[in-house]
Amino acid sequence: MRRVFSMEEWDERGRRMEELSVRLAQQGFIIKRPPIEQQTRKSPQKRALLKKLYGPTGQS
Amino acid sequence: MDQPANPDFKQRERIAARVSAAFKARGYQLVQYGGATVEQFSRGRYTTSDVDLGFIDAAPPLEVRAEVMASLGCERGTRLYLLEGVVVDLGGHAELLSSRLVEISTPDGTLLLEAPEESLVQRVLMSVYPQEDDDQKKAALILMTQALAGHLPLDWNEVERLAALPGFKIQSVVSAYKKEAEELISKVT
Repeated sequence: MRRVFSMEEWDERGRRMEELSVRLAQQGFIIKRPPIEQQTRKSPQKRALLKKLYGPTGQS
Repeated sequence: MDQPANPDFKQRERIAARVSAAFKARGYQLVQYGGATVEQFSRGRYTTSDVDLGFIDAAPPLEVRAEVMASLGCERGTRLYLLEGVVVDLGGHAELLSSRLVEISTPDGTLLLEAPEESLVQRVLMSVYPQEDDDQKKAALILMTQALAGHLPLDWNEVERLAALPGFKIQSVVSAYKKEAEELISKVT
């Protein structure tokens, strides 16, 4: 039942995913995730660690 | 002190494969699940900042987990580890609903990912329960658009099966989102 991909195959799919994502973003379809501290499905310990490591947004 | 940059999804992919390979050498198989997998399936458009891994069969004893993670250079921990700037959340047995996993052969070892169908249905559920969540809805729409475009391997019959399971019962939401995804695709192709 598993679907198996080589790195090359997966990256090629990824390249096409990226192209589609860019076109979707040009239509205004963008995911803007909330800051780490508001991502309440993460455990408090994980939120604290991510915030400590990467700052309040948790993103570079 | 400046905050270090959050590693990108490709680095998280490499780390997940390295950790998986280290446990495989001890006879344990890991699978990546949750938001970290959505990140892989969305090519980093949905970011999680960490890597969630669980064991396909029984999880190893804590001592073995600690030994393996220490062999990779991690400080002793119980669940959360830091490896080359990437936070690794090493859970127990992964209770998966679908066996249609994705297996990627990477230079760092084989990486197993939760079924895209399961990733999708989980995001759809989180978009409406316990309250509406636009972030999760967009994640679901991204997965759907990539699947409709033929980039993400996804079996819609499996999606329907999962969506109908007790605890989900979200077939109507899946159908509505699929229509939205089809409209999105029609605008860009």
